[in-house]
Amino acid sequence: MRVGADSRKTTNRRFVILALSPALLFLAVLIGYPLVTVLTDAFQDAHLVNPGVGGFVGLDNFHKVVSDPHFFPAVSNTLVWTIGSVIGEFVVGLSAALLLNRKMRGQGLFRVATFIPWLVPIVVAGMTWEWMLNPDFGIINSLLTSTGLVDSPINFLGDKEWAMSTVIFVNVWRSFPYYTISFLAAMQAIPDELFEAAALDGANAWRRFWSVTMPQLRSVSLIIVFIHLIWTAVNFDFIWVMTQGGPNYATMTLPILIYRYSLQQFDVGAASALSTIMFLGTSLIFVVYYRYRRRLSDEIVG
Amino acid sequence: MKKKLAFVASVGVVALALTGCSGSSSADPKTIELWTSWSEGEATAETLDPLIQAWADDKGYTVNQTNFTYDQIHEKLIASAAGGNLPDVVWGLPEYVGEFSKLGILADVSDAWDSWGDADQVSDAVKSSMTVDGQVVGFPYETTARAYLVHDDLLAAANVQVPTTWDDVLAVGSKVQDATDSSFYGLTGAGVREPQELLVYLAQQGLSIAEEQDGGGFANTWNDNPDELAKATEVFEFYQDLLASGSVNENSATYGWEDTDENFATGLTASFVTGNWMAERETTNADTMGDVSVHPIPYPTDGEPATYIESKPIFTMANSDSLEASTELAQQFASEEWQTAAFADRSSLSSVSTDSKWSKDFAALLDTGVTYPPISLGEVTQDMIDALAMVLQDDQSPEDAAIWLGDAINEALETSGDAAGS
Repeated sequence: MRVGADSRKTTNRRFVILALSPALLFLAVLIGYPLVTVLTDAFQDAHLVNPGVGGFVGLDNFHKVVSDPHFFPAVSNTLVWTIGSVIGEFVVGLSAALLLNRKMRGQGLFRVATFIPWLVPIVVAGMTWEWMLNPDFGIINSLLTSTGLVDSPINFLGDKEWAMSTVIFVNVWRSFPYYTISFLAAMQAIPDELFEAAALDGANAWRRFWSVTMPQLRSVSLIIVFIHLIWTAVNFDFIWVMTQGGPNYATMTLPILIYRYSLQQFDVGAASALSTIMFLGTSLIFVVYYRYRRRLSDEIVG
Repeated sequence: MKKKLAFVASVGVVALALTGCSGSSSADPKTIELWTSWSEGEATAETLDPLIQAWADDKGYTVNQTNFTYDQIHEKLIASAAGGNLPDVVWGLPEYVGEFSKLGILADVSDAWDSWGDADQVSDAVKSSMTVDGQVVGFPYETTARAYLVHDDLLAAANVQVPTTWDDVLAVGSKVQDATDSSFYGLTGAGVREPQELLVYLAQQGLSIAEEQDGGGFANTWNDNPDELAKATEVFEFYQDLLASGSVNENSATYGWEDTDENFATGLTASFVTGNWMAERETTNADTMGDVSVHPIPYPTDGEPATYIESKPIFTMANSDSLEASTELAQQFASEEWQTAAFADRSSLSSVSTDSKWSKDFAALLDTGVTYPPISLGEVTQDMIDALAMVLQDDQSPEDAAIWLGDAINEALETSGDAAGS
């Protein structure tokens, strides 16, 4: 009897290991190995086209990155880009969800239409907006000047004063449907009884929104805000497609600086050092999220 | 024991499945991986596809052709080199010659060049643009120069003659703009075209971004030579004066080639330095491209004519499992037969041309062509873009920009190992 139980345990253990092995291998090969390589290269003099350099250099790469005159502006741009995008996406996404949650004619059509920007590939969206915003032949400037809203065309992506707010606007346009989908799903799970009870207590629509709807959206808000903080901070393609970090570094964020170190300067050591700094930063965001998540779970469970 | 072996084997199978179990992309010596950069569906692709297939059938090879943009080829090749998983034959740009040579991934095709029957049809300038340390590393599959294209009707409407010097350009100022609503001249203020333009204007002043030094290696010498610095300063002054005089659209200070070519094709810009790929716009913009004439690029009164010669090399990778056949395929692209079929108006061979202005008028400028020195250009071209941003966007002094660029190029040469004494 005892022998049979041991045999079953061994078989179960083997099955568990076998079942987990694809995931473990996936993590080891596609995440673990590159991550360890980046962390070790950050302390090496690694250059793709200069075979004359190499070896352990301690913190030299970090010093080089932090001494780069573009580093702190890139940190600042990354914060503005990330926080601006997430706030914009949250506000527009929530507003759209509130509108779409109301019963109205053509509700399905509006819901589908709202999701369209999210279905457009980033490269297509970026290039289309780039053409639409062109000061010479773009439709946006044509509308602005023909209606008299502006005297002369605005170089939205070429003027340093406008470039960052423009790429944030386009990012918000493309990403808000994700928030809308999430908020809409959460809103539809709120029991009608809560709204009815609040109405019986004399709460107006504004009060019901703050006292019933928003508390019920805390959990989903926490998840999507923190996910988007990380996604936006590490996003490369959107800004690259629209401005490549320009004009004159006005939209240069840390991921684009990493790209320039690695694939323009071929300085893998500096690129790895900056990647390590970013990794620590995004890990910090995750730690903050985890603490908030636990606190919220404790509150919900009571 | 058997069970343990089976377990390890099954894990191994999963691992191989996950990692794709591939070594070199052309592990089969009868298969050639070819990376190109043509526009699907356009004439070049339509013509070359059957030629490649016929060559492969004749030689008993399979050619796997994959199409990328040049930027993608650049990045993928560097990543592939780091991973040791390279294709066999690759289309490239002249900017890549120095970098890829330093990576050690290019095959030396000097012997194949020497025995090539069409070699005497290639100019020395083109051959030298794909020669590093005496070794030929590519065959030229497409060669174009830059020219100064002019919408004759727009200049006639403003009663303006085609300029030949920088002073002529600046003297026109906003006359064309006032008369036609089209800006007169064009400049590129972003992207890959911007440093190519700067290279031309520097060459017209007799300057190079990096000179090969006697003891080997390269250096920028502007800051060691007051005459050179003065001439480099004049170049940056010209850029600033273009904006100040009203000769160019102020927005072009941040325009890439997509915007500038579009503006010229649609007549929003009356004249512009660009390439003969604009011939395609005669079809798409028939209303506005009919009056275009081709001229040498305006140059400084005390300088010399110069243009950017873009001779695109097709590379064979040094680690190819089918090195001989891959080199032969690369050579085919540069052959008279394939050039006549697919690159008749932009061929590297003097024997291949057409009667159109896009072929003969551009070919007439090749003698004044310059190209980049064979160094790692990634950081250097970014420095050139940054220096132009100093004068075009930040209104800094042209001399400061010239001094900064000279130093920045030398720093980049040090980093990449291209500097003298590295």
